[in-house]
Amino acid sequence: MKLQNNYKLFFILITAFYCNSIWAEEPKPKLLVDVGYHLDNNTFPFVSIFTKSKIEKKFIAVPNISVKVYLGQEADANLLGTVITNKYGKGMISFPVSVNTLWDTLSQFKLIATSVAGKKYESVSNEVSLTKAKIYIDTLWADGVRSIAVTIKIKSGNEWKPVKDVETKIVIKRSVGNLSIGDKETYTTDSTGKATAEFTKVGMPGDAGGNIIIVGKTEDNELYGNISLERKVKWGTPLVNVNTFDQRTLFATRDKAPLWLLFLAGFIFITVWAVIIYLFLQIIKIRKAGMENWPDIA
Amino acid sequence: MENTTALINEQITKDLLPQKFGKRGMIWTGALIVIALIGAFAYYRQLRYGLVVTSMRDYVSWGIYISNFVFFVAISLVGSLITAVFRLANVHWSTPLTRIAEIIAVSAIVFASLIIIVDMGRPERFVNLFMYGRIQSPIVWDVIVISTYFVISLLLLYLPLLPDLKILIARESKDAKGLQKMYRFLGSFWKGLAIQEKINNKAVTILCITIIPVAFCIHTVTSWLFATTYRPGWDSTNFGAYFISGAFLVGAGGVVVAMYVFRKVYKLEKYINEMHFDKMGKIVVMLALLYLYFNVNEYLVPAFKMKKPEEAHLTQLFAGEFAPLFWFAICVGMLIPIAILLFKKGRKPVPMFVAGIMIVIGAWFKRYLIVTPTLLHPFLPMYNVPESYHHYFPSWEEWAIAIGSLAGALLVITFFARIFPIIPIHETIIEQHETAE
Amino acid sequence: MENKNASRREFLTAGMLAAGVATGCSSKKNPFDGYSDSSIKASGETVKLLSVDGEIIEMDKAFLKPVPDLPISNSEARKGIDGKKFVMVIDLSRCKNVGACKSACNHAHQLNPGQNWIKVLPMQDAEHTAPYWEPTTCMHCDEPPCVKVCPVDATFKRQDGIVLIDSDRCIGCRFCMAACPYSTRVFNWQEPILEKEIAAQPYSCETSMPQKMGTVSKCDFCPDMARKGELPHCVSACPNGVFAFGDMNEDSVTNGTETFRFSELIKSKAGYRLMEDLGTKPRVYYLPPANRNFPYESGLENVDTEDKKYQLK
Repeated sequence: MKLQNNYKLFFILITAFYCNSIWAEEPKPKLLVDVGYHLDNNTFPFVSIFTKSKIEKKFIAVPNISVKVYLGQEADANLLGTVITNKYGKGMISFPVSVNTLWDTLSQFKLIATSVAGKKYESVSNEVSLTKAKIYIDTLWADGVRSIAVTIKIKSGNEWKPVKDVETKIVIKRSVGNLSIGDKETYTTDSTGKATAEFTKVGMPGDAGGNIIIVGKTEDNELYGNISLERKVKWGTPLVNVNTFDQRTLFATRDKAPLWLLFLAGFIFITVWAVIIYLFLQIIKIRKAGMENWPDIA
Repeated sequence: MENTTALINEQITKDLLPQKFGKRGMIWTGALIVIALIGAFAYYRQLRYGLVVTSMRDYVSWGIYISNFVFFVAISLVGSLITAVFRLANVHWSTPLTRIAEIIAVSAIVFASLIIIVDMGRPERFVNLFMYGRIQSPIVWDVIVISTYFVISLLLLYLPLLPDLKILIARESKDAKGLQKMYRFLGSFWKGLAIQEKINNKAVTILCITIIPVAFCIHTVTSWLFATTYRPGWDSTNFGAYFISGAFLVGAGGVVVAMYVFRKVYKLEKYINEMHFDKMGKIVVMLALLYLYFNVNEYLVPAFKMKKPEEAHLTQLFAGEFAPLFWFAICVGMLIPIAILLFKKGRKPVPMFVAGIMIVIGAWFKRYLIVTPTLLHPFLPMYNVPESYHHYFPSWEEWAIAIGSLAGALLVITFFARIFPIIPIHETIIEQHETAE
Repeated sequence: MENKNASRREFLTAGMLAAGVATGCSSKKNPFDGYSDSSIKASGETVKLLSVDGEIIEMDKAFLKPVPDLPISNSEARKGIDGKKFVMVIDLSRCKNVGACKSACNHAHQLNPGQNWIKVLPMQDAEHTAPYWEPTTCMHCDEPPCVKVCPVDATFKRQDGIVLIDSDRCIGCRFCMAACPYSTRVFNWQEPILEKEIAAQPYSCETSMPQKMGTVSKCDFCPDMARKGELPHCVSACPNGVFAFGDMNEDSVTNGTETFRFSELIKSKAGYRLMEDLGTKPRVYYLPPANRNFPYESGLENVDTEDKKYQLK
């Protein structure tokens, strides 16, 4: 029985070893480049780059990669710039003035990201084709119910036209993870380009003035990228931040010890040490008495 | 008449003066030094490799260092009992035992402090306790109260020593020069003047009054290191009293052992006689009964309720892994000594000595049982940890350091007895005269 | 499913970075950027940029640079982020002992073998009640018993609710470990094995790295991630969305893919805290293991060999 077990162990070890060597021979991971188009508050657009590679079924960020970003086609005139990704594999670039005329004429556009070949990775390219879009927010009030209407418009020739069937998110901005203002996660625009969400999150804490920030956005949309717009509304409850940090408690820092403890401990300490000091004085007294009588021996 | 008095005084002085080590003394001291050095080597290893050399892990994060610390603090309480309580109660028979009790107290409190530094993960940051000390933490209370008790105990050792120092200085020729220098430094100003006697007596009385609450504090605060947590077995309002009663017992047991040994080695049968053993025996049996009472309190009440977190802990103690040690500690530390000492024949020196040893050993393991089993019964299951985290048995380094610290404490007592009279000469002479009159 | 989640999450974080950078020009304020805002100063150099309408906008160069990882000073780390009250919700109905939380945490904090800040415990409250998996982190109690007993202020409670450890201060007395009823604290019994680069860094209370021999460590709620507007490692690593992290002052928690209104979630799912009777007031809430996504047994396959002996029978 024991022998058999040993065999099993041996077999497992061999298998493990073999698997290991297979892993080792695997070709080096391929670099992947994500391109994203962003437009916040309908101001200036920018392009985000994320360089990563897939290792053991997981995406791992690859830092320090130079990525050239082009508008329309891979030509020097169309270069937006070169991005070097940071330690999280991320980088971003906005549209420089040099592409002014080109950008102005386009309603549909293509973004091309090409990584510069390096020691570890070969050059890879990725592109997205998008339509220029803008987003609008309206606050609605009907029958005591508050709603938010988000409108998406795309550029068509020289005009901005509403567009239907766009999935939008209408959320309350929070520090991590935004909370939908209504009961649904997403809202789709109708033929007038409008998506309406009822505000059901009554009583959400806002800032000290009760303001909350509503964000309407498209997220990773295949046609329009990431466009978002914020609107501050006074729909929340004023935040009352109860900060007990400076209170004197048993779990506060040393400079914030409870007063009763300080007095109690101090009283005991001072009393006992006063007695001890008194006793030392007595020893000095005994010493003195001895010295005075026979100063010669001392 | 005067002649005989002088003769008696001369005889007492001669009997009680510190004696050079004999052959046995040399072997004893040598052995203690070797054991202490092994402990020091183990500590060197711990400093070098970290606390990983111990068997303590995340669940049992306090082991025999802490139980040993509690033991030292406990035994140090005896100084206040024998000296202060008896003195204030005008008990005279205890005079020959006072210095034994005091030196046990001082050496134990020194090693309690040392062992707590040994237990620290970053001993070099000990100074942080003074730079960043937080009065909210019971550890800071312990640091304050232990250093206070140490100073008071030293004073209580020193003040009654002054008259004896005069006697020692008077015998100049017979001692090594270094010793004489020390005696002179410590007590050359003592001339035995009436005013000196008066101040000294008053000071000692004040000391005796002060030391009792301070002694209660050190052991109560030490018990609070446990009782201020939520853990089963520690979460008790009874802990302070429980610890103090146990401390008095182990301290009295320690004194019994010490008085037997000193009497035997220094041939002090005349000064520490059967009456002393008989009276100490009665005190020990009373303290043992008191401690037994607190034990019943401490175990019966939670066992009656059997709250879930307590249940695992108590069943392990009563009938599980720790049962042999638990019943050993209860029997050897309390029941058997009580059975021996309740009888007059049991209060003779030899059975007293045996009972004293039993009490001390039982008490040491009792402290271990207070610290460790509790930590093995956390509220949430022990899981996602290596197998070794589920058990605790001290490593050789821990044993070496713990035993080394005990040897160190004994060494301090031994050297003290070599240098100073272990029985107060001056006070014994005075007592002699009072009883003669 | 898992991959989709992962890529989405990456995307979300990318968006957040961008949002952070754009802060300067739009007046909006990422609540987590309280610090980065003040750290960016106008350089005086301007750049011309194109708007979506093809207009040229001039803006300060400094606002375009990604926010650097500024080291947080010790006194800042001890105070915490103003206006925040961090909170975690652990949904027991979703846990099947995958252990991704544990390994992500261990990897991110370079924990040594045998150390786990997060533990996934097999629990069974009574003989006839159903077993379940219970991940435990530091509870970041509002009245932390560990902080009460610390003799040197080495562990402390911050205004944002997080309990942290200063390993440069810790004396290694382990009183906090005895005081913690949740057994959450671990000790560095030996010199921790660390990457050279990490070991050379000065200790930061917010990253709890690098670990030091002879000091205590524990789950820190990843305040360094919170400052960047990102989730703790365990939250983003869990494939089943067991952990949700957020801010009580914002009444919302998120597991990376879903965001919940905290008060509603706790109310509708009957959230509770561990050992409420001890009065420690934890900041970690649990949702009971009702209507489970996975049977308890499905988690048994992930039990470590070392734990097998102590598995529920």
